[in-house]
Amino acid sequence: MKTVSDDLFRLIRSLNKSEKGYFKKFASKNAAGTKQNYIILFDAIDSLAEYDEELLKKKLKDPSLTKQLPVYKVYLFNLILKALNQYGAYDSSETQLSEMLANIRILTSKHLYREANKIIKKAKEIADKFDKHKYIMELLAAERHILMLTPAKNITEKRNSIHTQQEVLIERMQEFFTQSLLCDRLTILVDNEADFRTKENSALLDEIISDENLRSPDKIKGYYAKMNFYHTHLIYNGAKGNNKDILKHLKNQIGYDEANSHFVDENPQNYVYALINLLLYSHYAKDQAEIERTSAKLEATKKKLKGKIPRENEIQILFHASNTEMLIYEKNCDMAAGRQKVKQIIEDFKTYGNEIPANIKSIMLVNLACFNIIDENYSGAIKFLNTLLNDPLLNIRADVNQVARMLQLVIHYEMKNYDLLEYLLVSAKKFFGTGSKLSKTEQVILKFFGNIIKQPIEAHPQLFDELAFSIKRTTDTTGILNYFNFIAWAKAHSKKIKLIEVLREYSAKDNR
Amino acid sequence: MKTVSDDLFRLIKSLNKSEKGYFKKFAAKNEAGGKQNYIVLFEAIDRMEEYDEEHLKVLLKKESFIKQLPVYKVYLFNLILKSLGLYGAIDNSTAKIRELLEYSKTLSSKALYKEALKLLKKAKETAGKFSSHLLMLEILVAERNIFSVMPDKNISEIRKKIYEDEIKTTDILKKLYEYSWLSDQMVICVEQKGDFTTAQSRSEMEKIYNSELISDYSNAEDINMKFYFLHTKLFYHLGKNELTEVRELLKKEIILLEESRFFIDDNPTNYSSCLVNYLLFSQITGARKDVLETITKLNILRKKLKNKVPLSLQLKITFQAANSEILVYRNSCDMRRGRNVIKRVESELPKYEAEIPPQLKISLLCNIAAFLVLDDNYPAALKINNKVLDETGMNFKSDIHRFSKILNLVIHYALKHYDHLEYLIESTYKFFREKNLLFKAEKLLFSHFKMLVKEGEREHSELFRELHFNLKKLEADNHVQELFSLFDFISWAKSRADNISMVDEVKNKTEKNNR
Repeated sequence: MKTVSDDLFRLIRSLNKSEKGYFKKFASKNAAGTKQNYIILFDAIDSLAEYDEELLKKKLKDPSLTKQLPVYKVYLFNLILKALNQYGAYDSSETQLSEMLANIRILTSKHLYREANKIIKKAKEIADKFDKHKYIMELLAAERHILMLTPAKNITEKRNSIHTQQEVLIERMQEFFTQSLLCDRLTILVDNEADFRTKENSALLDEIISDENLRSPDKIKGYYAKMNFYHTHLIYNGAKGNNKDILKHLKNQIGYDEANSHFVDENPQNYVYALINLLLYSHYAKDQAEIERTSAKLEATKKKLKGKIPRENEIQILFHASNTEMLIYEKNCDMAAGRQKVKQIIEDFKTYGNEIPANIKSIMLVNLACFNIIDENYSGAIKFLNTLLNDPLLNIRADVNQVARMLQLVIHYEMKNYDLLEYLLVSAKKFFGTGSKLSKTEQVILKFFGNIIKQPIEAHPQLFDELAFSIKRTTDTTGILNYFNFIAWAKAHSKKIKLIEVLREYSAKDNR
Repeated sequence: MKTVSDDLFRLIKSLNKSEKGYFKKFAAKNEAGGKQNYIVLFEAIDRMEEYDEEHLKVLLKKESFIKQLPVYKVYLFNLILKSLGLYGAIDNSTAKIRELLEYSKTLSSKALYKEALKLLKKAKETAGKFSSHLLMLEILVAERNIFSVMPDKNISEIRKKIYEDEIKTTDILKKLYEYSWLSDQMVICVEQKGDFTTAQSRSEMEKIYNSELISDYSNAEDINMKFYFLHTKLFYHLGKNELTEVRELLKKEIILLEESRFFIDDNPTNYSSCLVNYLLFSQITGARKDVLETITKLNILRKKLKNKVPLSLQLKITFQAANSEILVYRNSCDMRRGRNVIKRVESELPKYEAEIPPQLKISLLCNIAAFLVLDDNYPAALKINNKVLDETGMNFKSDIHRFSKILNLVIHYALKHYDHLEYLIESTYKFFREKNLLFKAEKLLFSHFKMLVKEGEREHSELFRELHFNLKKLEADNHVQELFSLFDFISWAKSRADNISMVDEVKNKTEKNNR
């Protein structure tokens, strides 16, 4: 019975093996007095399959521990976070700057102003180089504090210079916040609301991109503000399907990153994402030279990553790259390479478990299901979809869930589970009825399934032919066809050939 | 021979006994392998009187690490700072917010977004309560990062609200920096330059005082801005020597802080400074009731803070209070209490000299020297005044530097160093003349001292009578008020003319004034 918040349980379950080991060492070293109690409580919670306070109390046995369980839980929660903070510490400009700021505070409290000023000077150079506004602000405050405490020849000029720097920095911060908002507004519109092709939202996209702050990157001073600028244009052109512009902006972004390579060395995530996207869109553009150049850069960067960036970023990059690779194999109809990739992704799922961000995992599961449908491995496909639909933690993207529901119908049709299909259709209609609005394309697909379960198998090719015709006449406002080519699937069934053959035909046509 | 930077030496020398003890334990616990090397180096440097690298190399010639001394020095410097970071860790709102932010980042990295947002909510409340705008911006960015990977139903509205808060907070920061800049300009004009009586400084002060932000209290949006507002006005009136206004503004600062007690608990520095200054200005302006009330408040605060705030802050409050007490006892001629405070300062100051802000130390030493002159203890006054002269100059506390030069003449005269005095008067006069500092009072004093060394001792009483008459006649402009606030030259001249102790003359004057 869940009676209290299970935050602690979720936190413990999110730890990987080495983090758990580190915590135990940390707790035995750092928790005063009853340190064993925390480890006992930790192990007891870790052994639970789901959080059950009554069962936990039974496991703990020790009455002194169970009596004060709420207190122990809060303390243990904070102790784990403290341990994780130290465990995950890696060398970045931010950790360096935090340490320098702490040292400045100590030296200032000891009135060792000369020494403190030396560190301030160095730290300001780093913070400026890495566009760390918050740290520059704190450093300026420390500089001002020392200046007002110590004699200085040109004190007014020096104080004035600090004030000017503060004013400039406020402008830079506002520049970043504005670019970040514009970027997020577009992302929300395109990614989360998933209906960016409706007239209303399409106009909204245009309104955002017309903002004067998005006209040119030339006046943007901060690195992160500029990155947001490029990302906004990427998302916009992605939504509009302007592949040429996507390539242009990706190349600009990569060029800017390469000209500021210290940012890439410190956090290569944006750079790697840009390379991955460039790889994908160069593939669409069939620019073999660019594909080779980008692949080489990507491989070289990936090699440099290990151990240099936080694990969560490493994981994000790994899965984003895998996802893109799989999409390329799928579009190329290279099923052998795709299968290898699927195998590797399954292994990675096992390795990284709960550490994979939910939004990335949910998209990957849909793409894995799509690939397996094309590869006619329906039992494999349904496993991926069930993982997605049965885990409430993965239920965070409306567009992905909508696609998953549609694919569920496709797979069960392929598996000839017609009885189940009837029930699934009702459930899907219920889901779409209470969820977001259905696009015309989705309405056509749902209507098709409603019809097909009522008709004998002999009549199915005709219905598929009608489906292909109907979908072609709709506008895909939610982008469902980007995930799975329902037209090709319908054609394959109407012609009684394999889906992969239709896709290969498409690919050959494109190449011509 | 100093060959390299002596930063490490200065750092080690700045540590107190318990910090040194803590460092050694810390180094022994945290440093793998050559931990003893760091302690050996630490102790060798600690034993030195001044930093001498060659001598250090001789001392450590048998140690294997001597070849890598520069590397060891840098490492030891950072290791000491690391240990001090843990030793002095204090529990204030900033530390709490930083911890919550760190923890929320950790939870986000584990995709525990709901839990991370809970912590950010707490952090936001604290940052709002304490007007921690910079940290608020950090919280907003962290919140944005979570919502970008954990879409909510109302994501568009949430994101818009975050942006609005970001812009609002940066606007507040901008305004706060403007207030801080105005306040600092006024402080520089009055305190740091110490020459606020010049026409140029006066015009600067008027310009700041009449600026839009300072003209209307309602412009100040939060407690920090309000404090800067009051502080700017306070220094303006201080510059103009309008001491009753200064006292009233200090009272307003105290009320402002007492209305938000949590600010005092979080960072008692401003509050204690206000109390100390209020004590002083209440004494100067004759607000006896406020003096007693403030001493009580200060004692309560000191007891409350003991071991709860960093040592540096405890020391600052202790020495600030001592400085004010000396002034109070000097003005009230309570010599017994004054001597007790000086005794306490003389025993504590050498222990913590490096830990007291230089401005406070100079002000304290200057007031002690003036008190000792009043108390006829000239040898002790000379010793202290020399220290003040050594540690000040035209770039630092020039007002006190100038005063100490004149007090130096007073002391040497009392000690009957007539031969030395002749030279001293000439060189001091030259200094004042070259720096254009010969104002009315200074001119009178120099001419008086020049006459003193020319005439025999029997004529001195008459000369002092003349000086007393002339000083009393002086128009009490800002220069005169500034100089006489540091030392009562009129009473000094009168006591010398009447051949009585200065303290008796001050008492007589007070009695007369009270009648």
